[in-house]
Amino acid sequence: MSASAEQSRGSGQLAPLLAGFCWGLFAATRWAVVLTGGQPDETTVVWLWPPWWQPLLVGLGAWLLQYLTSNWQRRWLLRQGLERAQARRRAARAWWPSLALLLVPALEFLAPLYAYNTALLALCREAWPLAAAAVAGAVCLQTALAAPELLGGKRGEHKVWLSVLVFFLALLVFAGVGLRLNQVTQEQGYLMAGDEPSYLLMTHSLAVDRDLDLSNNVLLRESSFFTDPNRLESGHGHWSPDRAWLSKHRPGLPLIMSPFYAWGLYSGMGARKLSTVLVWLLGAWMVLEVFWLARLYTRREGPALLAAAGACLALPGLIYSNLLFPEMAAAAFAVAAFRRLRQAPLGAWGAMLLAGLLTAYLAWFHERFIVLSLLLLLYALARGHWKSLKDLLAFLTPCAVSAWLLGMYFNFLYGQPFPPARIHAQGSYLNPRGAWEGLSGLWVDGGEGLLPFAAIWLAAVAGLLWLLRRRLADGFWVLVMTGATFVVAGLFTDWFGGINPPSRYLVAAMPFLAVGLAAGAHWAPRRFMLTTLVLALVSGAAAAFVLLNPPAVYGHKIVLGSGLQFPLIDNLLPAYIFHPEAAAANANLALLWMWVAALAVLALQIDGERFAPWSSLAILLTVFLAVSAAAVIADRIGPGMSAQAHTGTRLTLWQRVHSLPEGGPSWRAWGDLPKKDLLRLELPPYKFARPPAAPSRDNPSQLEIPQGVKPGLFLWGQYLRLPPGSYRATADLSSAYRGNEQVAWLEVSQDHGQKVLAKRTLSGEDIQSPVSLPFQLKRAAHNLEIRVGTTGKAALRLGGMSLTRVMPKE
Amino acid sequence: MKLAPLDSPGHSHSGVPPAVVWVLALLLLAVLVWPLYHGADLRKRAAQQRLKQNWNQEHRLLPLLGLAHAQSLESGESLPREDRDRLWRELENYRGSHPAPLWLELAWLEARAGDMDKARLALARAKQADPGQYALWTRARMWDPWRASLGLTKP
Repeated sequence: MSASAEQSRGSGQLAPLLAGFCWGLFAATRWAVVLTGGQPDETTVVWLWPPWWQPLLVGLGAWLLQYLTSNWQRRWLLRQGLERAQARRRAARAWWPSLALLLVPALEFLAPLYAYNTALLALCREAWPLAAAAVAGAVCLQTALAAPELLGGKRGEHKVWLSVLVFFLALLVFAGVGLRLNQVTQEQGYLMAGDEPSYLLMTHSLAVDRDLDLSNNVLLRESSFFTDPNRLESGHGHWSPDRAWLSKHRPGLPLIMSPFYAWGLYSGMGARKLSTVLVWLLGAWMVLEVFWLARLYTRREGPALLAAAGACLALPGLIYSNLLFPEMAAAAFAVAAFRRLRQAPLGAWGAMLLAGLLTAYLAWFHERFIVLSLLLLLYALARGHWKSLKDLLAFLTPCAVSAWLLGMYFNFLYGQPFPPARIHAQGSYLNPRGAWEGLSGLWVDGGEGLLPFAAIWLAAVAGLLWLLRRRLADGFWVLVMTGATFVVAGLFTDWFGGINPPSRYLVAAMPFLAVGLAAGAHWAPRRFMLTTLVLALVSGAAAAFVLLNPPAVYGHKIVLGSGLQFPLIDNLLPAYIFHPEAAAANANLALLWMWVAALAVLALQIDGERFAPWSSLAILLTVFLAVSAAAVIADRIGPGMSAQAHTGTRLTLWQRVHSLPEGGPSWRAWGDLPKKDLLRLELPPYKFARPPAAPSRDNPSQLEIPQGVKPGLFLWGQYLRLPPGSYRATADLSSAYRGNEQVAWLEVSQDHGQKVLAKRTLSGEDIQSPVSLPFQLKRAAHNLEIRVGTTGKAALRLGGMSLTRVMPKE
Repeated sequence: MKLAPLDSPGHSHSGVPPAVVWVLALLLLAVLVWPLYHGADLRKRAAQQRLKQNWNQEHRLLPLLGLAHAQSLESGESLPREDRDRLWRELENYRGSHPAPLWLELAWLEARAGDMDKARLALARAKQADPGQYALWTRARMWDPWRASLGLTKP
């Protein structure tokens, strides 16, 4: 046997063996729960494990699975025509990227090496599925590259039925989202806020009265046709010069929505429900246009389907398919006009007229879309249509008429041809806090940023650069349309667009951004698809979380981070919306993550691909370490991982600890906090105080309640979502009065106080030491509150409050 | 910058004659906009549906007022006295939220029917219920025909 054959056999045995060990160790260590507690300067980390045989079994199972997969992989390569020795050698070497997995448990177990930074622990505990997907993808990619003759896209005739399928699948997805939101509305009340009721009231007026004067509709309380009858909805209106009550919103969406709304009234099926059908149709049309545009550029249907899937399934498009804002309509109109301009040959005045009509109507959705209209006009000229008078007239006539009408409309309303800044909530167009906030916040803000909610758009940006490289003019114009939407939104004072993350102003950019996914899939090396896959996993998880918790969409009651074990989102990303007071820290955090995003986009521009498992391993390790380094830096810049800013995070921890099989060891990495303290949630009284309670002069974190006040509650409003289980509420109440007359009461309620779960009356004698109130939840409770009331009999002091999850053994 | 050719590689012919597509599209459009043709009748129809369903007892006055509004417009100006009396009774016993706009609506119905005393009384009730809402909504041009007789100041 030759030396090279020996070497080949050695490599052929060692690599899969090591890979199996890595996968086994990785899988076995995933089943621990890590709790952090204490103050930022004295952090405690405790690991809780299931019984030892369970991780062992899982680890061995993973190893066995890897062994079976490697056998199948070798046979597959043989079937591709590779020689036996070559197939074995290449199959084995393709497993080298698996070594990157060792980094994850290594970072967890070697905490002293990096000064016990909890951000890395958080990454390891939360982002390990992404690491596993990236490594598995790299192994698959290297296996495919081992047989390069298999690579190469299939091209064929365009299928008509595929377009139909894309449209109806998108419609089905949006209808599914609608069903889910409808279910939540029935369970938790109307999910409607912001401008949506105003748009609907305008639609009602158009459908029923055929005018825009809302005054009679307000007096008749006709908003009860689509929202809570208890609400008095006045449509964000103002008086016109002839004293009609007109909404400050534009009539473009209500006008096209009115037939659907009218059908809702006529059939009794619900005006809002039927109005939503229009937005589904607009969304499905937008997805279809994305599919056609991407197919036009790449001339392939696979990448075009990827672009369509991105536009349909990723946020914000997914959720805005069911919110009655003009964003989805603008997205559909803009991309439809753009594609027609791209495809229309000279002299095709019919297509130009249609593009002109769509372009002209954009401004009626909102004046900010005038920017897109102007860009579409420039694009029509750049496409060479200035050479044909017929084309120009067909395109420009509707635009000119629309611009004239809009100018008249604004002039009638405001006495000038463009709306004044005062009509906006903040009274200005440009952000007084600076442009960086919006321009970076749109991308990476923890509460409203695009990438935390749909990281897949990072791959789309990289793909757009590939489009620019391969088709300069097309790439340029798609980037211009995307960039203009971003810049207009980012400079605006309310760049986050209200309370429905991610920022709704980005919806109109989504179809253009989605084209980048197709371009990347078509022109970039295959690691682009690997990155897209990993980012799609994160995006899918975020979308699922949002749909499972629609309050995350409305009102910021839940943030993305509360679905995770550690508050990654809350504490490592900028929080322009949640913590506006920390402007400098937010700006620095944004800069950090914008750099990480930019580096990722640039890394995806590196061309070329070949069978190189060691390079793949090096790239994976570099990516893992770069993300880890960014997390550590973010931990230092911002509030830090141990800040535990959101109570939802702590509740998630409780749930995990509660569901962990009992009997396993626990390991305290450092610190000295007992486990039971880790299960306590502090509820600082000053956060939930109501008059007559006031912060104490000597200690503002405590409350003082004077004697002689009217009996009533003085503390409520935590609005927690608690899983089933046993709990104990504790209040550190005290008073100079020590008699046995009632001075206060402590109660636990749910559903905004509608249902009282437990109540305890408290005398002066009772409150000489902290008082507790145990309670049990058989089902998950929503909007749970721990409330404290005073009878006014004596002056009280509330030093602290907490909620403790009682474990079964306690 | 060099522009890509004006091609249309993604274009495909479905084989359906354009005239058929146009006819179908127009038909669909006609079906879609058909309920809009009903206009104010939609208010009446929606109110009747709510009354039939015994909708939201706390706010049952809303469909009654909607129906009265539609009938008042339909019949020119005269909504029968007994209908208006029923609205008065319902509004006196109303326990839902924000009664002020409803009193204003009743005042408008009375004014349209020519009973200025009752209209003034309803306006007074609206002012009593919510002075802010009263001041806001009495600015509307809908009051202009009776502004002097109702004692409403011109905004």
